[in-house]
Amino acid sequence: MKELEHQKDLYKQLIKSDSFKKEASTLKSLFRDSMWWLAEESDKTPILGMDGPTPLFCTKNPSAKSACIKRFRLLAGEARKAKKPVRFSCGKSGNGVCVPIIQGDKVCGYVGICHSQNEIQSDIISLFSNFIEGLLREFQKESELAKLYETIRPRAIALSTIHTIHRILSSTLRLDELLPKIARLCLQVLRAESCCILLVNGEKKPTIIHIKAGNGTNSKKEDAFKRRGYARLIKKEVLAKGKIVMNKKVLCVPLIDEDAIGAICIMNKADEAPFDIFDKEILFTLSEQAVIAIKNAKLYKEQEDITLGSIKSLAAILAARTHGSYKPKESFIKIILAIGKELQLGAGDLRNLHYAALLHDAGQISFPDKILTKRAKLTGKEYDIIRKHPKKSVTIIKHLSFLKPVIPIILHHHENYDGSGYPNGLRKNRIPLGARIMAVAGAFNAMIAKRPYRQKIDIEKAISEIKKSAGSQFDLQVVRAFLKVIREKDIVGILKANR
Amino acid sequence: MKLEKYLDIEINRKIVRFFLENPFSIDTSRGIATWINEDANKTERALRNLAKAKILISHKTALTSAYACTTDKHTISKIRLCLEQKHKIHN
Repeated sequence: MKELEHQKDLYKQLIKSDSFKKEASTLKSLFRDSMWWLAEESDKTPILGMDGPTPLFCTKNPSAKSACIKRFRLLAGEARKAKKPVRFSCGKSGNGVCVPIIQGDKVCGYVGICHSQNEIQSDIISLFSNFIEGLLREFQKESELAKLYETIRPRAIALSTIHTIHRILSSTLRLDELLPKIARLCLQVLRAESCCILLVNGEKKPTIIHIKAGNGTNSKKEDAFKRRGYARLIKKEVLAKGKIVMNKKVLCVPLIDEDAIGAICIMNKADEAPFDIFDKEILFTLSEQAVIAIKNAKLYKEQEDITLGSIKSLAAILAARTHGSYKPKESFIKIILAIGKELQLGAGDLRNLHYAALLHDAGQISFPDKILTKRAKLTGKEYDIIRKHPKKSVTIIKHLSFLKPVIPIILHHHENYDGSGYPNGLRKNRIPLGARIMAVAGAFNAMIAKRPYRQKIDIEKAISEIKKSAGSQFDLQVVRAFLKVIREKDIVGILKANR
Repeated sequence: MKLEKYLDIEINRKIVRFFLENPFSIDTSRGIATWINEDANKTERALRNLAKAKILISHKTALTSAYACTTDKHTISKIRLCLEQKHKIHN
């Protein structure tokens, strides 16, 4: 049936095509007074004229007309059997031919020429017949290409979507950003109303994230999710048995690494249709990608923790050697990070700032004990030794390649904005921003801390000293950020606790 | 700008139609430009505007943004209605 439809389509395409009409009109001029007919491969379909729905007849006599049609049908039958043009005589002096329109081994119609006053030469007809075959082959190819396009396009779009999802998921290594991303992508691809991701955290409480279509995280819905018993369902079936649970309104797949590390659960399709096998396949594919991304994020977090742990250990060793004078205070690190956030530094820059804060005075390990514990004012010579500590700090950390971005911050954290600092006397923006932040926080920290040679000063006085030096010793924009964060609750709390 | 105004622009209509026909699709501007057979830069600009208007959702990848149809039912039905009206006017 489909094949018949296809042949009909090809026939229609042929008789409508400009190339066919052009060729026929050229031949018409060769066959004087000829009349052209077209017919589909069926006894029931009407015979058409070349230039319109009604064929021209050489007679007005109705019985002669019907005899003409009958004869044409007989000749079409002959042409079908022979699968080649059949010539005939038409009236007293006319010539005619019935050319079958052949596609592959099937005849899909006929072109009839009659009443020609010239002889219809077989080689011309053979050329015409070949031309029709060539046109049909072209149409056939076009139709196959169109079908292929229709079949491939949705698959290509789906493939591109999977590739894009992979790109989105691999663009983040932070678990707190990754989970909402996975949930939103699940909602997007499956057109569901809400998505819940549950991650097992060993002995700790599992992480649950719930996202509703068209909105952000919705904690009320999370409660509804728990009330409906979905959390129990996930624990019992999906996590414990690694099973996929699917009913009309809920589809839940496990996140399997070696064991089930969590589950993705989506609820209610937007078009209210039940979840089906295709949704199950899609969510499972998504879950596989999600597992890789979650695993990467966890590994990254572990590596970051190890790095930070090692740096803290190093800082503790240094603090032990320097009689505690080196140990950076918690408030100092908090202030530095808060200023960094206020100045909208990215996650990487903040991390480097944190490392720099922990290790900035590592070079103090080279100071003689008498300087570290001296109660009187330092001599010029002693002060020269102190001024060398940024470079000494760099010498200590430079072998750790992951600390490379931290080096400029540590090296220049005693530079002054007006160029009066050390070791290089850099000015303004030539001093790295991290170092400018450290300079403000470091000066504040030094003022409020007790030193062997002086008493600590009051916090408000220290703030006012920083303000006074804004634009000269310190960068104005950093001081502005400092003044904002120093009044924040948690920083005030830490400062009070440290007094 | 109102939804109607966004859909007055032909490339915006093409993009939105593509997403209504392929609601599961998430793609970059280059991908969408291929599917709708349009210039990549024009498509990128149009996608950014449509995402700003919350007709599309933008997801960040490491190097570019990916776009998808809004998941808000109300917005989707408004878009459908508006597209139908535009279709009637143009025909």
